[in-house]
Parts: sequence; C-alpha cells; structure tokens
Amino acid sequence: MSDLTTSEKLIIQPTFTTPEIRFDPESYYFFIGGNSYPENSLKFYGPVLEWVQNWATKITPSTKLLTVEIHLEYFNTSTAKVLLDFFRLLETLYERGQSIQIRWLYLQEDSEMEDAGLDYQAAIKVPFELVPINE
Amino acid sequence: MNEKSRETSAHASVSFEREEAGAEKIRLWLKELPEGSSERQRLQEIHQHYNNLLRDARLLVRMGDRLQAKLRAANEELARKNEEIAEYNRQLSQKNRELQETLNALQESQRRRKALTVLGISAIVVFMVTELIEYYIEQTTSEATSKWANLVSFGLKALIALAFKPLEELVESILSRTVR
Repeated sequence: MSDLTTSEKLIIQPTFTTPEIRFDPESYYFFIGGNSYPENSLKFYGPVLEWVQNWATKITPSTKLLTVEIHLEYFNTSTAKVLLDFFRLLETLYERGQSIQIRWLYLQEDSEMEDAGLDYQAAIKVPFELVPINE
Repeated sequence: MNEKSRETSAHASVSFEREEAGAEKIRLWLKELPEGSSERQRLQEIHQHYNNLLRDARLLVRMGDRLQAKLRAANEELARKNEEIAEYNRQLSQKNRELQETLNALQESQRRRKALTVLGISAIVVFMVTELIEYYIEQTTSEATSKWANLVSFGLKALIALAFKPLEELVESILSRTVR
C-alpha cells in the first residue's frame, strides 16, 4: 500500500471480521486486537505487513523498546499464517539489534488463545510474554 | 520455554513423517556434496526453506485444529443457548394462554354479574307494577274479576320466575357482544 507512510500512525478500525490495528511509530507501540477472520487475509494484512516491512527497513535499531501487543479473541488459519509472517519480520528486526517485547494477551479462561500464544512463543526468537487477563 | 509450551509444540494432530523423511534425505544429500560447492550451497538453501515450511505447516495445522475446536465449542454453546431461548418461549406461550384464559373467565364473570343486576332490577320493577295493577283491580272491580286478576298476576309472576334463567343468558350474550 503505497499511500501509507511509515512516519505516520497506522490505524485501522475494527470490524466484525477484522481486528483493530494501531501501529504508532513514535511511541514504539503496536497493537492488534479483536477478531480476525477476513474473507481475504492477503487483502487486509498485505498493506499492514508492507507498512511494517517499510518501517523496519527505515529505522535504525536501538534499545528503545518496541512493544507489540496482540489481543485476539478469535482468528482464522490464514490470520495465523499472517501473524507468523509478522512475527518473523519482527524477528529479523530483533536480530538486527532492535529491542522488542511481544505481549500476547488472552482471557484467562481462553485456553485456545493461550495455546496459540505458546505455539508462537516456541516458534520465534523474540521475547514473547503471555499475559492472561481477567475480564 | 515452560512445561506447557514444550507440550504444545511437541503435539501434532497429523503425521509429518513423509515430509520429515524428505528433509532427512536432503540432509544426507548435502553431506555427499563437496564442501563449498555451489550445488551444496543451493541445496542447503532449499533445505533451509523446506525446514521452515515444514515447521510453519506443523504450527498452522495445530493452530487451525485448535481454532476449529474453539469455533465448534462456541457453536455448541450457541445451540444450547438457542434451546434455552426456545424453552423460555414455550413457557412464555403457556403463561400467555393461562393469562388469556383467566382474563376470559374474569370478563365472563363480570358480564354475568351485570346481567343479574339488570334482570334483578327488571324483576323488581315488574313485580311492583303487577302488585299496583292488582291493587287497582281489587279496588275498582267486582270480586269475580278480582279473582281472575289475581290468577293473571300469579301467572305473570310465575312466567317471570321461569324465564329468569333464559333471560339472564340472553342479557349476558347481548352484553358480551356490546363489550367486544
């Protein structure tokens, strides 16, 4: 998506099938939350991943902590793949020296989301914290 | 990695044996190729990609299964809630029927009371009128005529008494029509 500049915040409002996305390059805070089962995951997440890719290329890795919070209630398999790609992008950035902390938020009673978080935690080499929350 | 994460990542719902055997075969081919050769480098790259793909496939299959299970559980919960709602609706319909029956009974009893009042007043009026007529006849006519008048008066009163019930029903049905 060429019309999105990486110096500006990336904000996408949530819908019934797509999550809220708030990427703030100034405060180094990225958030994805809600439900994610878009009909066309590539169409929805393609520009988002492109934005992250461009931003990651432009910045100089530093010790300023990039906090990435994911709080999904439900996501489909293609979103699972997109998330993996997203985490791999972050992994590359982390390997370049950027300080990153991923926080996987899930409802305490939601064991499926907890297990999904554990899977990601095991698959990537970025500090990955599982945060149970009480509703 | 904590205890649960080890369990989770080790668990796979389908077998990737064939794919793992393929990866192992490439690894053995790699060993056979001379160190530093371009073929070895290319194959190494393919091997790396293949391994990554295999790892992702495992993860995604596992995650897909889990999400499907979550969806199924949510659907079951939804079906249960729907059944509960249907049961509440049935109970509500039953209560509505009972309420309607009570309302009908109440309206009927009100109509009966009104009918009785109307008929009671009418009977008193008729009785008083016949008494007055009887008295007038006794005072103004001969004894024989008076006897006949007494008989007619008695007959009229008996008629009113006998017609009381059918008249009550008639008044009640008229009232039910007018109320609606």
